[in-house]
Amino acid sequence: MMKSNEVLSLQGVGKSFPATARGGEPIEILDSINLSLFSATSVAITGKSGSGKSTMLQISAGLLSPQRGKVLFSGQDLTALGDDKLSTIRSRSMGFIFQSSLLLDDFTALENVAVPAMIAGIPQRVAKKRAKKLLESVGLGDRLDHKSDQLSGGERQRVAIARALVNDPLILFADEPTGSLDERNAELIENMLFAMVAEKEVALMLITHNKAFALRCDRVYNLHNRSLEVVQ
Amino acid sequence: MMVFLARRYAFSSENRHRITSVRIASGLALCLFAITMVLAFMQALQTNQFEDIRTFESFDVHIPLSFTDLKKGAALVGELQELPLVDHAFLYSEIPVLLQGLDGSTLAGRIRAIESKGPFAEQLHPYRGQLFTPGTLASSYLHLSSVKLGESVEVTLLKKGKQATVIPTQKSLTVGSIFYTSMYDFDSSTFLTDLPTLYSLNENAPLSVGIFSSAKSEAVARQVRQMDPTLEPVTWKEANASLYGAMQLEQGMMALMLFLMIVVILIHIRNSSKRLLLAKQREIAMLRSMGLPKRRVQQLFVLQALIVSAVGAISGGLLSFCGVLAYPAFSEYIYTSLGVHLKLVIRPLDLLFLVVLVLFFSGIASYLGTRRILKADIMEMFAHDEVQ
Repeated sequence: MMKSNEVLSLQGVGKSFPATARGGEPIEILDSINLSLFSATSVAITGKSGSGKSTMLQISAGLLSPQRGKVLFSGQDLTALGDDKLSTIRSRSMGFIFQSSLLLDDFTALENVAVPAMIAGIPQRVAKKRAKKLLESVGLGDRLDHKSDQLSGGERQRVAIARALVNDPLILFADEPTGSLDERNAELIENMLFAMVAEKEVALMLITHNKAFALRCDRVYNLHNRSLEVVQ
Repeated sequence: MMVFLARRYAFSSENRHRITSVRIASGLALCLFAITMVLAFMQALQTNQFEDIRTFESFDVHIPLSFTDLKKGAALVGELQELPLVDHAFLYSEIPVLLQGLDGSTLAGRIRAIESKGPFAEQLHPYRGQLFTPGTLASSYLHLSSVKLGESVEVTLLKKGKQATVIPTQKSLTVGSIFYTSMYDFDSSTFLTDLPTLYSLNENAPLSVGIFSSAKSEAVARQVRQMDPTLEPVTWKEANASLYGAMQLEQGMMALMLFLMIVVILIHIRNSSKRLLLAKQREIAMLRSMGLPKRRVQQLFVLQALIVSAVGAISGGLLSFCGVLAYPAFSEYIYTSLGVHLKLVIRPLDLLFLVVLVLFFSGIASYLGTRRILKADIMEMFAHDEVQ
């Protein structure tokens, strides 16, 4: 049962991977994970490398299927949805920020932000207008026509934030968003991310190694031995 | 949106893999150009050979006659000339001969007697002397070393005998002219004269009617049979059945070769399409994470493949037409090496078929390639190394 403002709910989620490409005894990554995430709140998941943090985020976003349990997004079980419906949810209600920013290299910063809006069915002109506004809000008004390789790491990550927010999502998934940045840029991105989350009132699931960054979230969990432990 | 993305992934200057698209399109254009030109040359060669056969060897239709009366033959020619499908009808006769050259060599061949005007005579090229001068023989340029102009040659022919069915007879004839045609086989085996001269050598020489027509030879033969059921017209295909069969076999082999070339194109398309898709695998993963459904990813890359293939196919078609237009400038080189004047023609339907085949296969190759890539998880696609 979901509460009225609950955006995401993981119920008994379990995931294992085969030990080798040829199969073999599976390696258990996640076991009976339960987690709820409400709108306008943030949750951070910390843990050692290889503990399954990114796997958990991917399952939560419907990018990966769990072997056991349910992933409810606004009441809909993502594991039971077909590709079209799942894609629509990803397009209109989810935003992603990855560690290495992952921009479309053949497109300018403006186009990178506009493309998700166009995928969501917004006309190109309107999408570009919205993208421009968002890029200006993250301080990249003068970098609209720059391509990925013409931007610094911090700038690329700011484009990724703008891109993640262009369709006014219900939830933002951020996987180590500051992992590849220097201290100054990391702080800038952290501040920007929390400011945007507060302004847009979106839920945030943050995966990070950085304790200070994690502690800025409403709740903090540590993924250890395939289970979540409450930190804050 | 799909067109915007597909164009960007095809030839846009923003596209990092644009050179791959250009390579694919260029490869397609060159292959298509090669196939079309080979097809045009082979068809032109065959047409040329068939035209030679129809002009010199067996005409479009010929009718062996059961009589040797030239006046009766002329009357029949007059009647045939009135038929709507007959362009030109004429009498001719042929007898086998052995010809003794001045240098002692013996030439085996035939003497053909035929009218001195009309389409046949117009295709002959006189080298020396006056063709069809009564009482003289015309010999080919090929025999110039043993048969010279103005000299007398001994002709051995078979005549009806009184006790034996046929007996060899020798006659002397003066060589009145030297000629050549575009058909080597005809030149090497044929001596020409006029009908009265031939009949002075052998009054029993079989008489035939030759017919030239721009209509189908089968239709002409049918019309002749309708006019006079006793006549037995023979079309050029029937008269050269074995050669025609060989030509058809050659055409079959040509089709097989072209099929192999098309297979090479299709493999090129498949490999290129795979390469292009692998190069975009991470971008496909990004688009998927942004919410682009699998079927639209497929549509996007099929559209991109169609744009690239269409550019390649259209360029190939244009190159082919340019090749045909530019051919006259090179035709002299072809003439000096092959001895034939070829008329290159592109059959639009053949070209259209090739273009449609290329587009269809590109679409299919891209569809299947994308489907294979999309079987992987989005995160697996992200992890894929970028292919340049």
